[in-house]
Parts: sequence; C-alpha cells; structure tokens
Amino acid sequence: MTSEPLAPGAAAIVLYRQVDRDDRGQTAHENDFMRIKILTEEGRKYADVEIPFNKSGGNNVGNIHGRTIRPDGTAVEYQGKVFEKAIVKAKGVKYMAKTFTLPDVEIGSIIEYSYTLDLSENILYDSQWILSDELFTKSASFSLKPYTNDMVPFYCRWSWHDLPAGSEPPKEGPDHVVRLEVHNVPAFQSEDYMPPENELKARVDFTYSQEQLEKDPSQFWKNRGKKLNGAVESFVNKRNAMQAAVEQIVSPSDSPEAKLQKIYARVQQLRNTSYEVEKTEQQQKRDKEEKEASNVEDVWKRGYGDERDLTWLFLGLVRAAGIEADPVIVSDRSNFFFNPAIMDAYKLDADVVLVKVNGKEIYFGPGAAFTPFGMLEWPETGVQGLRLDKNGGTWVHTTLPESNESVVERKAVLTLSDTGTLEGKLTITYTGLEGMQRRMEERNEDDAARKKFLEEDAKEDIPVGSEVDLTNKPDWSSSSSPLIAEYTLKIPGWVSGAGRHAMVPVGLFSAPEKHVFEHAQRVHPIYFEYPFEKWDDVAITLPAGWQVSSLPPAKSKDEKLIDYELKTENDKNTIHLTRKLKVDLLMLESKYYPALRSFYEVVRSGDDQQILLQPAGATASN
Amino acid sequence: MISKSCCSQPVLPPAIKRKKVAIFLCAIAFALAFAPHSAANDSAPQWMHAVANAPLPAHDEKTNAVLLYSETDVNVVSADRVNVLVREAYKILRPEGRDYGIVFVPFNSNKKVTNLHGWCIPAQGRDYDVNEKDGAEISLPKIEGSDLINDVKAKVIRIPAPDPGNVIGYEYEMQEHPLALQQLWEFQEEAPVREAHYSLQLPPGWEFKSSWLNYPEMKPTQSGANQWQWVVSDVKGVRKEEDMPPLSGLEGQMIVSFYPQGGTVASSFGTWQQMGLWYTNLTQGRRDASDEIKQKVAALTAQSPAQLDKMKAIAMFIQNDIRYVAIELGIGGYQPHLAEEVFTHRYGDCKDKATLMSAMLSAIGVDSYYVVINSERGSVTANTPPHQAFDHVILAIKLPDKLQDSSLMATEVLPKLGNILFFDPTNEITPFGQIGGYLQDNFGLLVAPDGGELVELPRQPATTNGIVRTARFTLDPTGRLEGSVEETRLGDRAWAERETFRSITNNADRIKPARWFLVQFPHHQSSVD
Repeated sequence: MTSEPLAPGAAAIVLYRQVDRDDRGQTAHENDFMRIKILTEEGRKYADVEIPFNKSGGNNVGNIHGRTIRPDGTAVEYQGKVFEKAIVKAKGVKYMAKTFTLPDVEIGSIIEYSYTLDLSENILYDSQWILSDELFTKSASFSLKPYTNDMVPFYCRWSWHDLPAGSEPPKEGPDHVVRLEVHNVPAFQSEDYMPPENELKARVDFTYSQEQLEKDPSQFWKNRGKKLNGAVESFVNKRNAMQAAVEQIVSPSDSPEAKLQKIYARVQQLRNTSYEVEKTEQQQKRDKEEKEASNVEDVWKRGYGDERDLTWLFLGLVRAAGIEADPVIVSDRSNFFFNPAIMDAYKLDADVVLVKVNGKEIYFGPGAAFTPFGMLEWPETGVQGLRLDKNGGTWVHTTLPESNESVVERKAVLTLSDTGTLEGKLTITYTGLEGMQRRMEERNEDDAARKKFLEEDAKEDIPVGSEVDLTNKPDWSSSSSPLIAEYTLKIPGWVSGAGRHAMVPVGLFSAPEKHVFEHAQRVHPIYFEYPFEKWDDVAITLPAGWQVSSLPPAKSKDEKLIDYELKTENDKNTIHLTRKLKVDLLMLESKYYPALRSFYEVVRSGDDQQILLQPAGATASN
Repeated sequence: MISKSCCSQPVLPPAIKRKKVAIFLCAIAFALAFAPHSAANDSAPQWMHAVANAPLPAHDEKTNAVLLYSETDVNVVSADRVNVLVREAYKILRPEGRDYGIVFVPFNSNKKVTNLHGWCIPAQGRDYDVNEKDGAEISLPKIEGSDLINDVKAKVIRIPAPDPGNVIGYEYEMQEHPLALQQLWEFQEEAPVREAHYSLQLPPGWEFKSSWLNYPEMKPTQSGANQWQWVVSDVKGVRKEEDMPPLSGLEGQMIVSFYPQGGTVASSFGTWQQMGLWYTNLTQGRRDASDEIKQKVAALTAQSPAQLDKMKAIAMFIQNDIRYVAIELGIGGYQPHLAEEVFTHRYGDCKDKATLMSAMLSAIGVDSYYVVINSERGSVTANTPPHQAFDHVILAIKLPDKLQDSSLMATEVLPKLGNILFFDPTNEITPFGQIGGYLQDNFGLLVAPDGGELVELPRQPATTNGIVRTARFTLDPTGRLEGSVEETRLGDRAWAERETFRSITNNADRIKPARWFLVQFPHHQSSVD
C-alpha cells in the first residue's frame, strides 16, 4: 500500500487503533495500541512518540513496546531507551511525558507501539474517546469496563458526537463492557472560519455519578434549574441593600428605560476583576481579594467583583428599581454548542440577565466589560439558555444582534497628488461588538500600545503599504459609545499611470476580503462569530486640471444575508466611493461554500475595478 | 527558512530573555497557579532597594523596562567547579514589560541552579517576595523538528505585581561543572542597562584572558587576591527589527577564558585550534566505519564508477534515509553517537548525520572533517574570539585533487587542506554541491586532526538563489491579460518552497503558493489555474 484513496496525499495513516480502559478494581488502567503506515518522507515523524501523563495525579505510563515492520515484512523490535521528562514540575503538580523513537523507519514501514496508562488508586476518572486524529484512521476499536461497587452504587452515562458514517453507537454488552468500533475516520483538518474544534471532532464522553442518573433530559434540567435558581436567588436576595443602592443611581422620575440605562452604566463602571491582569496568590492575599463575595450587598459595598458578581448585582439593582428581571444561564458557544439532550450541566456556563421593560424582553451581559447596553458578548449571543425560576426554569434563546449593530465605518477625505499619492484624513468608527472586541483586547495596555494596535488595524485594511498616524485619543473605557479613531493617512503610489491615463483602484479598504475563502474545497461548515457590516465612504479630490475619463459601473450582489454594494461617483474634481459589505450569517453548511466563495469573488472583482483619470496636460486619444 | 538543520545544545544563557518566553507563558501560568505561596518575609534585599530609585538609563517611550542593576559573580573553585551568583533588577515602564515578571533560569546536568529568589518593590506598599518553592521546573516543549529529548530544563518563578512603575528583581546561584573553562557575559539586551557588574575570582596562580564583542573593551579593576571586576553602564537596548543579524552578533558581550596554574588544559579555549583539539578528542573513534556501513557503501555506490557519483549516492542516503532525531543528554549535546549506532537506528541529529556521512565517505577513500557552526549567520564573525557559540555541525569534504564539476559550488581552497566542499547532511533538500543561505559567508570551526581553524564558508553566486519567471501574455481590447507563467526557483528559494510542500497533502493547496506571486499586483484581480 502506497496510498489510501480515502486520504489522498496523507503522510501516514492509522491502520488500527485500540483503546481498552478498565475502571474496575482498585486501580484503573488503559491499554493503548497504534499501528501506523508511513506513506511519505514527512510521515516518518510519527515514529517519534511522546505520551504525556499526570504523575502528580498518581498516573504512570508503562509496559511500552514498539516495533518497526519494514516494507519487506521483516520486523525490528524496539529495544532502545524510553526517556521520561518533566514537562512541568511544581508544588503538587508533576506533568511528565514518556518519549521514544522507533528505529529504521522508511517510507512503506508500518510502526506499532503499545503502552499501559496506569491511573491512580482509588480515584475514578471520567473518560473520553476522541476518535478524530491528526491522521486518517482505517479502523479503531474502543472499550470501557465501567467502575462498579457492591457497597456504593455508581452510575455511568455516555454520549457521542459526530460518529463516522455507518458507525453503530457505543453499546454496553452483556458483560457490562461498553464497546465501539469505527472505520474510516477522516483526519481532522483545520480551516479558517470553522466552528469550535470540539464540535467537529468525533468523540464519546463518559460521565460517572453517585446519584441515580436522570434519563429524561427535561427532568434533568428542571432539577438543575432549581438548584441554580436557589443559588442565584440567595446571592441576589438583599432587597433593602439593593434599594438603598439603586436610590443612589436613579431618580424616581426616570422612565424604566432610563433607570435601566443608568444601572447598566453604573455596573459597567465598577471594577471588574475578571478582566484585570492575573494576580499572583500573594497579591490577592495582600489586596484582601481572596474571599468571595457572598451576596450582592457585599459586591456593592466593595465596589468591585468578578464577571458573575457584577451580573447578579445588576439583576438585584434592576429588580430593586421595580423592573422585572430574571437570571438566565446560557451556554458559551466559543468552545461547544449546547445540546440539552446530552445532560452535561457544565455546558451551561455563562450568566446573563433577561429584563422586561416596556413590554420588551432584552438580554444584558453587564459582567462582560465594554459590552454596549442591550448587547451580549458574542459567545453568549444566539444560544440556548435556561431562564431560571423556582420550578426549574424554561428554555430561551438569546438574541443575535443585527449585522448593522456591529459596524466598522471608515470615512476618508483624501487628496490625490500629481505623483499618485493619496493623502488626508481617515476616521474609523467601531460600533457594537466591533468596538467591544478592540476595547477588550487592549484593556490592559498603555496609550503607546493602543496607538500601535489601532494603526496596524487600519493598515491591515489597505492592500498596499501605507503610512497611518493616529491623531485623536479614543475613548477606551466606555461601553456605551462607539470607539472612534482618527488618523492621517498617506498611501504613496496608489494611483498608477498607463499611457496618458492614470488609474485609481476603488478598493481602498479591500485587503481583508482579498484572500478569504480562496480554497476550492471545504470540509467544515463556515462559522462567523457574529454578524457585522463594513461601510466605507471615501472622497478623493483630484489635482487641479485632472479629469475623470471613466468610472466603473456600480456593482452589487445582494444574497440577503450577505450583501455587497460598491458605487463610484464624480462631482467636479472629486471622486466619491461608497462600499458596503454586510455579513448577516452565523453558520453556513459546507454545501453552500461554493455560493459563498463566488460571492467573495464578486467582492474582489468589484474592489479591483479602476477609475480612469486623465491628468492635466494629457489629451484623450484612442 | 531553516528546518531540521540546526541542532545541538547552545550555550545556556544565564536567564532566558523576555521575548523567548512568550510561548511558555500559558503552560507556566497554569502550573504556577497551583503553586501555593510559601512563607516569606516580604522584603526585597538591600541591593535592590539601593537601585530602586536610581536615575533611569536613556530610553524612549517604546521601552518596556530598563535594567537598573545586574551583577554576575563568577567564582572559579577548580577546573571542575565554577560557582556563579546572578542578581538583576528591572524597572517596569510599560504594560508590555510585565513579561519581565516571569523569570526562566535554564539548567542542565552540568549546571545546577539553587536559591532562586524574586522580589517586587511596588511604587506603593510593601515588597513582594517569592522563591523557587513557589515556582515550577519545566522542560522545553517538543517542537516538530527539534530535539526528541534533551536535559535542558528551566526553573521558573512568577514575581508578583510586575506593573509599570514597579521594580522587580531576582537572584540565583549556579554550580557548574564546566565543559570548557570559559564564561560568557552578555551584558547588553533589549532593555537599556543602567549598570552591570561582572566579577571573577580565580584560584591562586590561575590566569584569565578577556575578549570583547560588539562593545569597546573595558579594563578590569583588581578587587582582591586574584579577583577582578568589570563594570559597564548606560548600555543602549537592542530592539529587534526585521531582517536584522542575530542578536548574538550585535549585543555587547565579554568572553573570559581562564587557565590553571602551569598552562592550559584540554577544556581551555585560548585559540580556535585549542577548541578544535577539544572537539577532536570528543569525537575520537566516532567516525569508524563498521562492516555493515562498508557493505552499505558498497551497495550504494556499486552503480557509480565516478567518485563524485559515489559521494552523491552517500549524501542522498544520509539526507533521505537517516531521519533527523535529536537525543542530547549531558555531553550528548556536543558529542555525536557512534556512526555504527546512527546507521543501525537510521536516525540522528546534525552531528550524528555528519558522523555517519564522514564514516561512509572514508569507506570510499574520501576524507572529511567536522565543521562546527552557528546556523544563524552573523553570530560568529572573523573577529569572534574562540568560544562555544555554535549550534550546528556540517561536513567539510576534501575533494579529490582532479575532481572538478560545475555542480560543486560550495567549495573553497584552504591552504592546509586543499580543495574543500562544504555540505550539510541535515538539510534534506539542498543538493550535494551546494549549501543553504544560512551557511554561506558564515564562519565555522573546521576541526582537523591538528586542531581547528575558523573558516569562512563560500558565498554562492546570486544566480543560484533566485526566482526566474517567464510569462507569455496576450492583452485583449477590454484590458484582460491572459497567458502562461513558468516559475523556476533555485537554491534557498526552491528549498523553502519544497519544505512548504512537504507538509501539504492537498493538491489544491499546492496551487496556493503560485497565487501569491500574482497578488503582488495588488490592484488587479487574478485567477490562477
């Protein structure tokens, strides 16, 4: 075998992989076996093996065997030394790795190795089978003997995700061993704009519990909701203290909406420890921050709190202002997509507040720094959440902002020189999540670093070398106002000559779209963090005596959820360019990739159009 | 691009400089988060307080931190033991300077680090204090193409509150079993230096020789019996820029070699020749060709009557069939494995590959010599004094007198050895007869039986390292340009491209690099097939 038709061009493939975990008895262990076929020179690197393990947790790796089977069928047993190295060793922490390399590996060789991972005594670990590997896997077999105890009942539940086509889900046999066999598992491939890796890898997750496992998801979440609601309400229920606090923030004559805005602004202004530079334990002790706040009164009195403290403080204050509000526990979609049927309590891991004002329900994430009023940070938008109440709660979906709520707006007033240099003023306004993201990223930096950050950000939009100098002092601390950056801009050689004409490309800020979705093939769905828009408005004053010979036609491609418009106009000696790009998408199945790719090709062809100018003194000719 | 072409343990720096630490920060922060804080007296030492309010050295607004004080005290106890005390105090000026609060001190089996201690003197409030019990010990992470295993580790501490306006400092002691009687003092770095001190205590009757690199020589003052001290002050910071020579070729350094009473010992490097002798002794017998090696050479060269073709067949075998795997423990950072072992396992690092190739060449009657070199050109120059500044090993092959061939470009006629071809067997893509750009015009120590000499490697003509594009286009009346382009890449340009393609498995992606040349016309839309 020199190649695998299902993995064309692969450097190596896993012919067979076996993982057998035995959690029974006092000491659990796992036997791992790998058989890899080397198909190219590059693939020989798979002969270097590193097996990490947590020694401080009482785990160890032993019983290591390996061999190389040459292309002629002869075998070389591994008899070299297995090295053990400390990856990290600190008080109470010891992460180690066993390392070895198999000899005599050439193209066409098969390498095999096996080892036993001994898990520490008297500790029961949840386990996970990640089926998607860096390499294509021809066949793999997994088994788990779940822990049992005659004295204390233990329950084991498993869930699976994205199993390869044709695979039977893992099943428990009459011997109470859970088994799974899979074939032709594709190699995991990374792509731009793909959903979180965890969502794309085939896997099986096992969870142990001493409590009888609830089989009905609705009952499971009801129970969970009750518990969470109890915890939140006991943290928030400080009505007198909140009433006194809210009196300092709002006036009785304020409308409910005005009250809400004032409370939100006040909470956003409080010190948010979740976004500060991480402190050492010694600093935390010194600053007396080690003790967690036990309720919203504590948070208010201290004047600071972490993300969760501030979210619940907002809830307490809003309620004290007489406005209806509920806690909602949502799932952060930056790492996983939530599925209630899986009954994993830890996947509901973020807190927001749902407020009813003037008959309208609005989600707030006051604990997320720099989040504009009425918005959530992107991982919490468009996700399922549990709106808590004493009965366990109801399922809700957080809102997804409109694309026009997160905009990069670029306004440039420029002058073209005789030598082809564009020069003038540029103002970029970042609204909604666009402003929030940038404020978040630079929150712990100084003015010099922020200036550099914004200048580089602006330069990256321009497809050629440019000089950009920030001239204003943007407001980095606000969550309510857009982030506005003003620059002087100089682009030498933007206009090029061709015979008696000069040509002006219209895509002044087109660099980010130049190379997106160029690949012909797509494996994974296309995933955007949040909907957004880009609006460009550029005025270019021509040198005296210069004239416009021709303007490119307006270009537009409206696919409803994605939209591109480009227009050029000429008024006396000024050219006016407007460009709008709207991406109102969150996720697109890979089958729509060709359409998306062709949309961006239209964007590129529009941006690459040229305005033809006739410089002073040059006469038009055929 | 250099891949799998540099290896061997570099000389350990006293403490890893800031920019190199970024990739470890996440892992370390995780480990340190678990480390409970030990009891401390919360008081920085007097040497730190003495400089905390000292005037700052000249700096600009982009400076992240300045080094207020640095002290390196070297005490040579014997030829087998050297004790070093290091103290450094930085003032943090900008948020980006917070990285200075994470201190990495590398060590290995020949160099032990003890008493690592760190402090912070905040602009307001009491001092902070940490020691190595609060820290962690780490191995360098495995990076593809790097060492499989080596014994270089680092002790790491995280100093609290390394915020702008605060002063952080640390000290540690090292006990070294030196491989060479030589110390390197790197007193210039990215941060401007206010004051740096270096002291040397030698046993009675010992002598030293100091050499300065990239900085005017400073004369020492004698501060005790056989004790000397050097001081530099207001040293400019060296800020990284694109396409600049390596920092080791720019930063001010002092190299001190010391000699026991009665003359030199094998590990004293007063001259390049002495260093060459040291390496000759270290590699003694390593290049002996076993019967199996000779049989393989016979098989490889059976169809090649010409000597040049035989050499090429051997080179190809080493490049393609001996996998790059570095196992460098203890002296293994410098000493190659036996040729026989490398041949049996079919893997090795740069010095192992050079060793086996040398053994195989000897089997066809061709002599060759190790060339110990730094893979970053500019680290070692003609003026560099002898010291362990190298991280790579290649071969100098003595060409038969009558052998002349235009494919042999990396040649040099050396007065003692005659016509020499330089070749890097670790570089799996550069053809026999050529060397990569990182070696051209570079200086390496050629290790010959009588010692060694620093030699300059040849520079190949620019025409051997280029991109030739031939295009045939037709322009139609609408302005559309259509045609064909043929691109030929030579030398390092070809090497870089091939190296990229090696790890690309998708044919569609192989096309992508070709697109890049067309995007050099930024104002034009292009399609490539």
